[in-house]
Amino acid sequence: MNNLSIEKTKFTPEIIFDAESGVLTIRGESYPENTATFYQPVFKWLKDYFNNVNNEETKVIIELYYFNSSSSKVLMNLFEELDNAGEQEKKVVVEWIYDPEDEDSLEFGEEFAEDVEHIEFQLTSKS
Amino acid sequence: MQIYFTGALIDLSDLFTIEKKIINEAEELIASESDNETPLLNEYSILLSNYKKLYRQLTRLIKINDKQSTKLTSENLILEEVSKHDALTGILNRRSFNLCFENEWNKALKSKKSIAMLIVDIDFFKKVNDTYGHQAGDEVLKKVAEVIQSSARREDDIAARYGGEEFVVLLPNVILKDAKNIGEKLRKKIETIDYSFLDKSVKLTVSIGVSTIIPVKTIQSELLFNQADKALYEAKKTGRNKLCLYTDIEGAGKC
Repeated sequence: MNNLSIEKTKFTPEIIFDAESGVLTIRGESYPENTATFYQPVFKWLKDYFNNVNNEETKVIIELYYFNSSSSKVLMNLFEELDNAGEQEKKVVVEWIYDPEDEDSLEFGEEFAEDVEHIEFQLTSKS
Repeated sequence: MQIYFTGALIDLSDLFTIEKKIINEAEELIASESDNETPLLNEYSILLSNYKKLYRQLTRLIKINDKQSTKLTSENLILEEVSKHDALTGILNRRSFNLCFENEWNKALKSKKSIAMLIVDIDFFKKVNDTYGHQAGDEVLKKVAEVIQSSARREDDIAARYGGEEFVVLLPNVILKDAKNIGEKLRKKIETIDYSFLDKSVKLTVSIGVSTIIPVKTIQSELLFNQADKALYEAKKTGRNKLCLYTDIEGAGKC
């Protein structure tokens, strides 16, 4: 299947989902004008990916230092999708990258980590 | 730097007492019917499960958003302070001076009290930069700013860096005689500062222009500044390292 590649903008993150390697990255900031519209292709791609691709491991790398409330909800929805995949015996690892100089960015990762049960959630320092 | 509140709200459950009650009652109901499973009860269980999920997500969202708001608020406070002050000397900058001046002018319009303005300009400042380098010039500016700041001692007094080597002091409720004394003390104090540049002992002086006005509606606040500026010009013209009052040069007067 095709890869997903969305360029970074001032208000939205860079999104690169590579179906072959199973590495999905989201980097930058997220405060789009219409969050649902922006992330709709992301969820569509993810659904296709888990239905059709069978990688040994899927690694989701997230480096988001600023995101608005609706993006928070999107992230929760995302982790729920990943957790469901994990529940169906797929190996999924989330790597949440935080800025060691910004305590909040670590705490946000910890918040999201609390909601998943079937996947590994790593908190990794930026440097 | 005050930060309004720190730390996350650890436990938001106090905000959700009604929702928690609903959840508890629903869980109890399901438990009590556990040996009487019906499709309706199953649906109810699924609904409860989703309700609990949304509850968790909502509390998470609130926590995250609160942290972001706090951070933005304190960052804004810092930025506000930074935007008001001169980066090199730490004294107020021209922009904040203008705002404060308008404010004091309006207050004096009501109180009908005299406002004094002193414009302080370092003599031959360019020569310091040219002879000893910009770091020396920076040191001079910082030291002079420090002394000028200390002459603005009362709460409503304002000292600011107005231009490259020009400073301004605003003294509300001060009459000319007292403004002159304050200015003279300032001039003398700056005169005695000893700098050491390239192993040479260097001293600098300032010229000061002083003016006072009791504001009335028919005059613009710029007039106070213009008058002090004219007095400063006269001080420079007649030898420097001195203080001139606008009233000295009014008419055919001399400073």
